[in-house]
Order: sequence, then structure tokens, then C-alpha cells
Amino acid sequence: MNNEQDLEQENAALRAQLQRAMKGVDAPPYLAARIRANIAQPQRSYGWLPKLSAVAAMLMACVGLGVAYHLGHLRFSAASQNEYIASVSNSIPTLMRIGLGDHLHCSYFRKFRTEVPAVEELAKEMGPSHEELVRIVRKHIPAEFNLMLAHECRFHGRRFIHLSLKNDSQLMSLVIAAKKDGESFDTEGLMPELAHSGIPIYRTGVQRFEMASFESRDHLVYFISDFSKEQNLSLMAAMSSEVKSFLNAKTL
Amino acid sequence: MNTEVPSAALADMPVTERFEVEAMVHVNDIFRAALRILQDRGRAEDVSQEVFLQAWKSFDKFEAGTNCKAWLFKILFHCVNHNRRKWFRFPLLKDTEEFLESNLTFTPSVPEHITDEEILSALDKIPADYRSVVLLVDVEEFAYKEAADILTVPIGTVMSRLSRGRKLLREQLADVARSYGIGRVAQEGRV
Repeated sequence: MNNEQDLEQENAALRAQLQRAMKGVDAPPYLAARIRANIAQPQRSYGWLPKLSAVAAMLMACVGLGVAYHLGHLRFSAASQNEYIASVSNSIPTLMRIGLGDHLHCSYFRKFRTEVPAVEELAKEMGPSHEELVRIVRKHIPAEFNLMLAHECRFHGRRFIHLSLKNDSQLMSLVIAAKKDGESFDTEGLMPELAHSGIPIYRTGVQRFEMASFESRDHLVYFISDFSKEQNLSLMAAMSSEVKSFLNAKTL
Repeated sequence: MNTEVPSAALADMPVTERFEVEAMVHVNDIFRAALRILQDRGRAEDVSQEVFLQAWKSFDKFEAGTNCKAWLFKILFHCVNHNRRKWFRFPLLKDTEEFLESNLTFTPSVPEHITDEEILSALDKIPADYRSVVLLVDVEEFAYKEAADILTVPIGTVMSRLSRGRKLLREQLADVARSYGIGRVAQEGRV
């Protein structure tokens, strides 16, 4: 072949032969029937999947919010906070409820200011008669916990001295309540968890709150934190004799 | 495009009927192309079925009256490429380029008497990338632009692959002729 026209003619002939050869092969007769049968079946649709995922995510969020609410988070109104205090208090001995209630009311539900107040400032706010208490607490609690609150308060008609410390994730309170009508852990029927320097220390716990308590002549003393039982007890034990001596020398 | 049924009439048809009229008429074309590309009847049947199932699933996106055959071929090549790694490796084009450089120095003539089996066998022997273009342009008579769209390659690539594919096909057919002991003299003189 020497010219383009011949080549084109030959290409055309080749194309025609190729087409003829291709047409000579047919799909098996069952193929079209199989395709029709397949497309006639209702196809499995995954269109519901995003909806189901959204519902699942929403359910999980609801469960998460429910759990958070149960654990005392998202309690913005006084009524819901009181409801939470009542619900967690139900599972601990009556005398322990006094300290836990004040801790929850004054510390747990409180929005602390971001800047850490000066210890001296807090000690001054409490008055000279209680400055020593701030010093004792500061001495025994690890330095990473900032003293955020030191005040006298009232909760459910009872007077308290309340010191609250926190770090980035944990909160603790030393709560001191004046005894009423011969209240005593001993008469309540509680068994001390340990005795330190002759001071019986009682414990209980509910949810994330670990409590250790002892009593002085006129006071019930509670240490409540997010620590483990052992940590909480050992901190309370470390402070107990100094706090007791301080309280026995004072009247609220 | 379906030339027998007007677009307006197609648009009014129930979707199953429209699929039958527009798509199912190409079962043979799709199967033949799949068979030539894959060179295996079982795989060709499976892929053809997959093509029509995918087409059915997205038939609502297909615009009635447009080129359904080109759309089906586009799905076919998508399915083939999707399954290619699972089944086998097509020869790489890079290797083929080297092969062409060293072998395509002349255009051999096509033997006069050649059977359908021989021409299909020759087609099967050329590399897949070239075979696909020859199938689309020379057999199915798609325009270069349509072939480029089906294969998702530039139109220039289609043209060069077609030219080389045809030469390779001639070369394969010339081999057939040589095996019959004909065409030696004619080939020796051509450059």
C-alpha cells in the first residue's frame, strides 16, 4: 500500500470486518433474563443509613446528657440542684448528708472565678478567728490545689465554715458544721473507718464524692473530695488533730 | 441515543419500560465489549450484569433521550477498572509504548482472506488500552470525543491510541498471513 487513500480503504474494510466479527458473538440468552430478574428485585437501599446514624447519635447524646444530669451536671436552676442534692444524699447516713449538702450547694454548683484569690485575702475574709484554719488546710493539702473559697455560710438553716480547694479537674471541701441537739457519729451508729491520734474517722461515698468525717466537741467536720477513698481518708487524718484542736479552742 | 422512540415519549414512560427501551437493547454490545476487554466469558457476564445493575440504580440521573449506549459503556469501563486489580493486571501502557517504538516501523497490509475468529483473536492480542479505543471507535462507532469521555482520557490520547491500535491490529493480522506463508514480499518493501 503506497498511498493514504488505499490505507483508508483498507482501514474501512478492516473496520467492517471487525464489526461483522464482533456482531457474530452474542450475549448468552440467559444474561438479559438474569439482568431483568436482578433489577426487578427490590434493591437493598442504604438510604436509611444516614438517618439511622443521626438517630443513633441523637440517642447517644440524649443518654450522655441524661447521665451527665444524673451525675449533677447541667443543673442550672436552684430547684434542680436541690433535687440532685436530695437524691445523692438519700444513699448516705443522715449525719453525712449535712456536710455533703453544703459541699454540693456551695462548691460543686458554684462557678468559681478564674483567677485564684490570694490566701491572705481569703483568710482576712474569714476573720482573724479563723485564719488559723486556712493555714492548717494550706499546710496539708498539696500545693497544686488552689484555695478558692473560705467563708461562713448557711445551708438548710445550719451554719457552716467552708473552705474549698480545686485544681484543673478535682474539687475538695473542708466543711465544718455546728452540732445540733447532741448529734454525734457515734450515736448515729456509724463505725469509724480508722482512728488517727485517737480521733475516730468515719467515711462514706456516693457517686464521685468521697467523704471522711470526725467530730469535735461542738462540731461535725467533713472532708469531701473527688479523690480515692484512701487519699481522702489520709488527708482528713493528716488534718484531723490540728483541726480538732483549733475547733475545741473556738466556738462557731 | 435511541432513535426509534422520541425523547418526549421516553420521558412519559414508566421507568422500567424506559430502561428496557433505552438500556436493555444494548446488552449484546456491552457483553461483546466486555468479552473482548476481559477475554473471559464468565467475567464478561458478571461485568455486564454489574453494568446494568449500576445503570438501573442510577437511571434517574440519566437524561432521557441522550446517548444511553455511551453512558452504559462509561459504566462498563468504570466497572472494569474497578475490578481490574481484583482480577488481573492489564499490561502497563509504558511497556506498550516501548514495544511500539521498536515494532511499529511500518504499516503492514491486511490479508485478504481472514476469518472472524482470526480477526477477533488478533484484536485480543493487542494491549488493552489500544484494544479499548479500537472497540469504541472502530466497532461501536463512537466519536473521538465520546470515546474520550467514556475512557476519561484526553481526545488526543484516543486519537493516538486508535492509530497505534490499528497498526498493532494489522501487525497481528500480518502474523496470521505470514503463518499461511503469504504477504512476505509485500511487507518487506513497506516503510
